[in-house]
Amino acid sequence: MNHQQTFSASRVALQLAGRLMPSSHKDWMQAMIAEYETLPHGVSRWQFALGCLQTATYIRCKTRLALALIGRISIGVALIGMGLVGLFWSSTASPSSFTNLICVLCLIYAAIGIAGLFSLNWLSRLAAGGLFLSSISWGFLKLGLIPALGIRPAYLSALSIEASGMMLSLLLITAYLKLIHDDAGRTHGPV
Amino acid sequence: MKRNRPPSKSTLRVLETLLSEPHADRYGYELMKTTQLKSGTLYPILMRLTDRGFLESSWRSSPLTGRPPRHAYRLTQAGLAFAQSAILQDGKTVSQPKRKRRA
Repeated sequence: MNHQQTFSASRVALQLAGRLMPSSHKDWMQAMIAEYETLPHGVSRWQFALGCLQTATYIRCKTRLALALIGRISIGVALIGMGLVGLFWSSTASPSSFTNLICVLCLIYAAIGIAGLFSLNWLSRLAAGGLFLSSISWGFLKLGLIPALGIRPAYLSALSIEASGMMLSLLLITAYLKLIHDDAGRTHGPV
Repeated sequence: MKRNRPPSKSTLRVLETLLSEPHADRYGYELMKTTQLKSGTLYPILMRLTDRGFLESSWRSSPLTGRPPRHAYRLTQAGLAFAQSAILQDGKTVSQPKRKRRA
């Protein structure tokens, strides 16, 4: 491996460290990059860059940003999994208004799960929206919409209670994860 | 509640180096060479000391053209007192003879 390759690879490691480092410690990352530029080419740069990567990982874990990230992805994967299982079940069961309702609910869960994989803000917004809709779904009965769609009111009652509980839990968990995320993002870098 | 643990051996090495010339600006690479610590160990220590107000850091422009400004570190007054007491405490611990076990 020549010097040029070593140099490039170590820079990639440094860039990865920059990505991993929380925004509250970006100034420290700049300090490390500035120090890296003064190092002689070769192994010392490699060692330094790997150390920076180690530091960035440590800070990320320490600030609990990793917990918020793992939590968000786990929720997303769980909701997508739940949605897929529900869709599989409703496709194999005999078609009825109940299976149709389950199918719609599972599609909504999977969509929320996909949003959760990308953004915590979207997860909490969709959970709040879902909670609102499921809690007012009782009102649809009075409007006469449900019998018109061929859905039994008893099914809707049961599913709206289930969906409300689900969305409320999701909203509480995302609120906690957002709290961790915002707390970790507070700036306390060097002067 | 924050724990009041004694500083680690690596932290003591950094404090000793900074204390040898308390009013001089030190750079990361220089500290790495003097303390024989890797960047993955040194920078978390520097961050912790800065967070606790024992270290002040500032950007210093490089005398070489085309080089970015570097981050320089120096002990604060609180840091100076902390470093002195920590090193003194460590010296006492090392020189203290081990207690004999009762039979």
